[in-house]
Amino acid sequence: MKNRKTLKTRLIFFISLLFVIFGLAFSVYFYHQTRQILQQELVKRGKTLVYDLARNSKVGFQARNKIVLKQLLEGVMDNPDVVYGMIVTEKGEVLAEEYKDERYKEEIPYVSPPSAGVKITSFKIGKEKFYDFVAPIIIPVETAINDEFLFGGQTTAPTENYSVTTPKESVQGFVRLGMSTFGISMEIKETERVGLIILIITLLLAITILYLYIEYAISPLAELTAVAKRVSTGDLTQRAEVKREDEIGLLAGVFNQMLTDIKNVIKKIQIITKKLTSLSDEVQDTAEEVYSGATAQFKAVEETGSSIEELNASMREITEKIDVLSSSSEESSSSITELTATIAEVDRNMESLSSAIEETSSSISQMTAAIKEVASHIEELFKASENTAASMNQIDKSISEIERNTNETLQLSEKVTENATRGKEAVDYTRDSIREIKQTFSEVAKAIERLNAKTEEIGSILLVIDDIAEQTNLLALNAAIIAAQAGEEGKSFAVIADEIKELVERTSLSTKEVGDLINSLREESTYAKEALEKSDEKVNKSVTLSEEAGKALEEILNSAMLSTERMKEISRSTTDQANGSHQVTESINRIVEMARKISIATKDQEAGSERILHAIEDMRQIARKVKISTKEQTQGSRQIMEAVKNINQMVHFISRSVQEQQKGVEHILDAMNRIQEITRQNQLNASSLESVVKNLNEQIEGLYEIVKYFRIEEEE
Amino acid sequence: MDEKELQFAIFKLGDLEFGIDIMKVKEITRYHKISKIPGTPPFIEGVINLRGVIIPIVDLRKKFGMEPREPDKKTRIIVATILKRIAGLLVDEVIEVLRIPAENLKPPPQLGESFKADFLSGVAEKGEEIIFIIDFEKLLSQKEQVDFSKFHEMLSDTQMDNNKPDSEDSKQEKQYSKSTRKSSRKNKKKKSKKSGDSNEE
Repeated sequence: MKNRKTLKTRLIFFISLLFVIFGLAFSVYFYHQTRQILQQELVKRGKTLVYDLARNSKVGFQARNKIVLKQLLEGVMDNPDVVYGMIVTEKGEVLAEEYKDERYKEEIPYVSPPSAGVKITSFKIGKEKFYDFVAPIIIPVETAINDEFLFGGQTTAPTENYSVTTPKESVQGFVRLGMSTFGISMEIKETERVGLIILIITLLLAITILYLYIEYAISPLAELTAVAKRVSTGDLTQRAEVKREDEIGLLAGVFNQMLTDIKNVIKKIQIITKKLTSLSDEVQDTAEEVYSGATAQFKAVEETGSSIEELNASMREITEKIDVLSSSSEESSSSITELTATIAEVDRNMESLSSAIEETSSSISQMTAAIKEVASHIEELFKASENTAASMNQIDKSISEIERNTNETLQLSEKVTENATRGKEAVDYTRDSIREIKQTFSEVAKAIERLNAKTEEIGSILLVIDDIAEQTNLLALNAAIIAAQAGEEGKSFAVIADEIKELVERTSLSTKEVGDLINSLREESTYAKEALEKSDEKVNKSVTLSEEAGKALEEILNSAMLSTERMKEISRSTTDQANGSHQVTESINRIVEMARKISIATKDQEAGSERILHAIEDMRQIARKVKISTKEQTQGSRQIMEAVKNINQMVHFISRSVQEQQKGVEHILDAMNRIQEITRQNQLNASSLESVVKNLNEQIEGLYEIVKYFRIEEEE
Repeated sequence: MDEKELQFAIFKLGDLEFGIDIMKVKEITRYHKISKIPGTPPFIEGVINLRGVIIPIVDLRKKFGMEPREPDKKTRIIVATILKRIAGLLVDEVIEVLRIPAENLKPPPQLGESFKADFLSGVAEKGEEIIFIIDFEKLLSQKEQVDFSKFHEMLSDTQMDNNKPDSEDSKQEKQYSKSTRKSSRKNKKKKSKKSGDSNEE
């Protein structure tokens, strides 16, 4: 509560101090400003007053009428700020003066008069400040004369002025007014007092509002503080209930959030602590178990150690006995070996006998098989040779047919060759004649060309004739004109001109006819030329065609010749082949005969060999029986020997293993000792573990107690 | 018959045949190249130089408002006297000199007021065809006649340097005669005829 109070009072104190400073500064400024404005106003007023007074007092001044002037002055003095006033001539004579206070009369200082305008000076008497205004009284000279004349005053001085300076107006006196700032000071003081009162009221109001506001602002803080205090006792269910949206509201929200977070954390810690407690209990139990187990183990190990030592001693005894057994079994083994050797020899002899018989038997049976195979082969050979003979006969037939065909073909190809030769000759002839035609064509074309040229020449000659006829016609015309103009005398001339004209007309007619003829001739020759060109093309084509035909025929001829030759060759070889095949057929037939004979002989041989085979089989069976009995004997002896060997080996094994066992037991003893030591260590460790677990348990309990301190659930 | 026989030079413009009084015709010549001269009146096509004489040419096709035509070997220029001056008339073809009895000559047809046929002095029949006889002097309008005279004066001014001034009117005609005389001296065939012609003038 102390803190809260100090904060609040401090705030109020500082803010009101600020107010006071600000108010004071403002009022000082305001006071100064007001004072200045009022003083300016005062000066302005004084200026107007003195100016007006100077103007108004012109008439009174000129008349030197002191009463009028005094009245004017008194009128001015009614103004509360004016403290003194005087009207003085230029020479310093006082015409009228008024004072509000007689003490001013002695104390006002001298002021030098201005030549024109209002002069303002300020001075102080005691604490009072004064403004002094001096204005000249300006009087126009002429009017002054008139006025003087009117008023019957002195005339000398103005006349002198007039004559000397000749100004139109002159300064003849001054008006002086004094104004005190006392009234202003009074007014300002009044204002100041009012201002102070307003300031104080404002201050009080401000402080009150401030106090209220701070109270309002800080109250949630108090709430928060109370909640925090309660929380500090461990009650985490508390919540600050501040429902405002300013910073404090925010703070309360954050505070609540923080409490919730802390509560959650502590909840988790509680759970973990509980788990820890149970775990540590378990650990303690197990540690105790470990300790008791270790103790039991220690005892058991000690017992095991002593029993193993006993075992070791009995082992040593067994070893000695086994050594004796081993020597006796070795002795019996050697005698059995000898027996086995003799039986093996008998067996070996029997074996060789049996194998000899076996070999003989197998070779005989092999021989029999071979004979059988030969017989079957010969049979097959016989059949094959018969088949071959048949097919050979067929081949023979077909070969002779081929021979016949070949001969026919040969004849045909020879005929083809002949025909082709004849055809080629004909084509060559055709080609040559076409070539001749072509040459003739070109000659004809040349002739036509020449004809054309001649025709052209005739045409040009005709043109000349035509031109001459034209000229003559013109001449005849002109002649006719001239004849006409000559009148009677020209008449005979006119007749001649007419005749000339007629001649000309006839000439031009005939030239035209000739021209037409020439034109038709030209056309004809063009046709002829075109026809020639066309037939020339055709001739060219037939030349190339006939040449191609010639070439084709030549090729045919060549191939026909080639084929004839080939045919001849084929025919020759076919004849040879036929001869060959005849010989082959004959020899094959002979082979068939021989094969038949061999086949019969082989069959006889086969029967004999079969009989030998039977005899051998009997012999072999006898030998096999003898061999089996010997083998059985050998096996029996071998088995005995092996048994003895085994016994011997076993005795050795037992001896070795017993020795090894003894060694192992010694190792075990050592290990047991080590185990004993380790177990002892274990025991010690288990006891220390127990104490540690106990300690841990205690710690966890303490933690649990601490966690319990926080109240989380509302109900708890 | 003899006395009442008139002679006309018959020429062709397209399919139409026209006649002109032979007494006005000086000569018929082949087509010469027509040189254009700046400042010629519009109805004058240009001038030709015929044996040293400058002759203004009037294209009759143009004058009659027919389609212009490229000159060929039948194209002729009829050199004639018009207003006592020489002019060349460009025509398609000159056919012949025709004698026509005066009786066969008929006055021109009245074609209506809109069509001025003053230049037709008459119509003659030649078999089935009709020949229009032209008075060329009437073919030119008043203004054209004045222009024609002026043009001639201009030509003669440029040519005067070589010739002595003679009678003003027939200046060119004289000149033309002179030139024909000169040429006739060269052409021995027509020598006598031409000299006779000039004597007459």
